[in-house]
Amino acid sequence: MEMIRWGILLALVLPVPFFLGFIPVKHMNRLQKTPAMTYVCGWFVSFFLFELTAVPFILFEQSFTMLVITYTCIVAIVLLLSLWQGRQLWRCYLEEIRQIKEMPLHVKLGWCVFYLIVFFQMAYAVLYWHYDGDDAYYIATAVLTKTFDTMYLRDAYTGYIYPLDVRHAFSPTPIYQAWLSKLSGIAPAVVAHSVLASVWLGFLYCVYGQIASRILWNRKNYKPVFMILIAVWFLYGNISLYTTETFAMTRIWQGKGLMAGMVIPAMFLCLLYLAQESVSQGMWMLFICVCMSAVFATSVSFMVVPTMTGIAAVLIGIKKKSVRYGVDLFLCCVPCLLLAICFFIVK
Amino acid sequence: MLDELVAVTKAVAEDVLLYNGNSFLIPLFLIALLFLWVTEKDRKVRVVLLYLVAALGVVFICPVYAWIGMKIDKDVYYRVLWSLPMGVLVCYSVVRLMTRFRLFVSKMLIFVMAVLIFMINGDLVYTKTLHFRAVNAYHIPQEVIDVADAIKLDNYKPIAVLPAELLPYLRQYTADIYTPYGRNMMEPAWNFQNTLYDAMEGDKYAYDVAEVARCARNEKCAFVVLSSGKRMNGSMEEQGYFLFRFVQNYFIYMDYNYYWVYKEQGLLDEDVIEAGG
Repeated sequence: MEMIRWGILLALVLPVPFFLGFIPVKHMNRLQKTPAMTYVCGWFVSFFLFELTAVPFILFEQSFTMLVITYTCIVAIVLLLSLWQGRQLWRCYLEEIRQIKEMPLHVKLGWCVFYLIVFFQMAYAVLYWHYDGDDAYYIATAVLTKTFDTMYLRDAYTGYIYPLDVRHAFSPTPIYQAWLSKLSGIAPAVVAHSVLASVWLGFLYCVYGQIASRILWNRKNYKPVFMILIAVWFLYGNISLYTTETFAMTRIWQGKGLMAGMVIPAMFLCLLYLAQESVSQGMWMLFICVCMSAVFATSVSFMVVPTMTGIAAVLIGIKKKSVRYGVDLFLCCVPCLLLAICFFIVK
Repeated sequence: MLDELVAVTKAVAEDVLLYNGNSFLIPLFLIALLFLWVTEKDRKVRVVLLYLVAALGVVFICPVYAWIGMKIDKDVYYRVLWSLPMGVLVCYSVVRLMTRFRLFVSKMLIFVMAVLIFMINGDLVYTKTLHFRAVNAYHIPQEVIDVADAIKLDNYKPIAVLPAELLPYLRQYTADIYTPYGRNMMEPAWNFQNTLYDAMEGDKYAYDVAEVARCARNEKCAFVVLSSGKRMNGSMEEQGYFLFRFVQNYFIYMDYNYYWVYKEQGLLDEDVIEAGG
């Protein structure tokens, strides 16, 4: 039974996000059709769908079970659609894998070093635990959600009934983890600390890997060098309590860690591609998903996402000499702005 | 208004300094930005990694923007700094610098120098922070699990008061036990007050048992968990409690009042009934 539970959980965090990524990746350029990009897209599609589904259920104080049924059905439908749409992508992935053979030896060695560092970080995340006081809220919220079948209607510190916690209701990362827990039967603390802490590190490096692919597109052999430097940068990033690296390395399973480690770098990844002359439809899809995922992660995104998107829209619009393009870019964060308006109204 | 803007500017400067810690993270980031400004030729990359980042930096330290941001949530304004991809800029600068040299030795030298700078500049994330060897998949102290398992009832969710060191973890393990307060009490800045908490944690070395028992009853606690590491001034038995279990250096007492009520209603597990007599 335990094996089945772990099997379900690992399926939910490894192949399911990967397959969900097929839809945007199918509409991307040839160079973007990589397994890592698919995995990145899949997670953001998951967060996007969850944010859209969960927030109304939370605000209307519906039961968690209702949300679980609805979201699981949505994921199942999108998954089937993805598998159907992405059936031609396997050929691209095979080609990608074949290219490994053609790499010079020193590049292969570089990748080995990088994977070793990442493996060490992932193993450390599983074998060691880090005290973080905020887990008393985040993980407790997931546990309460699962136990009482309500969302944000219990005080995480006492367990007593509580008015709706609007401040966190728009960023339901703990509810997502409760969903993973409900489907797998594995406790939320185990899901977050022993599984997501490690799996999301892989996700983080996939995002940075895609950034490397874009900025080093004409110096591919330097990609492992960049990735090793990034891995070391994160390893020695505990400069203060507040840095991106500290949040990503010590509490990646919390919404803040997700925002610092994956969402903001993914925004830059999208903007790097959106600044190019020809932009794929898939990249637009990813950008919309990332903007929404920022809200899923933390309410700070209500400020950060419109600011980043707004400034990027102006700069890229000027660069492309197109007001229309700038407006289109800014429109991607409109769902985020609408949620921000709802947040301030409800708050 | 002007005074407020000055105060906000100071708060932003403080945030930046706190973010930077005792390192040269911000100078390193600015050097990387300057280096790429001079050397980066790809206009698309320039727009996003240079102009956008520089503009974001300016906006975030702008007092008017910061004033709005701090009105929303002053404590977390520093998080806007996450939007400056310092790691990407610094690492990309190093790679670009490497590409300017032909000799493999020179490239390696720059790489090694960069790694050394990263190591000197920052702290290893695993040594400076509070990392412990995991003893269970929950990644919480085992005593929390053992104490919670002892208190949990099959047919009822009781209220229990626990020592402060167990509070941050209890509900990460189970929501089947209510507590009159939680980790929120341990954050002085949040200004929560609770007389039971004061009775439990007021004295580092001893419990005033009569006071603990009185406050626990006021908070409707069926169970009181006391650390064996602290002296007990008085006896819980005299206050109408019985020792239900001793788990991982914690005494778990149950209030006889609740014991009889729960027993009559058939809410107690066999082991509790046995201990209560």
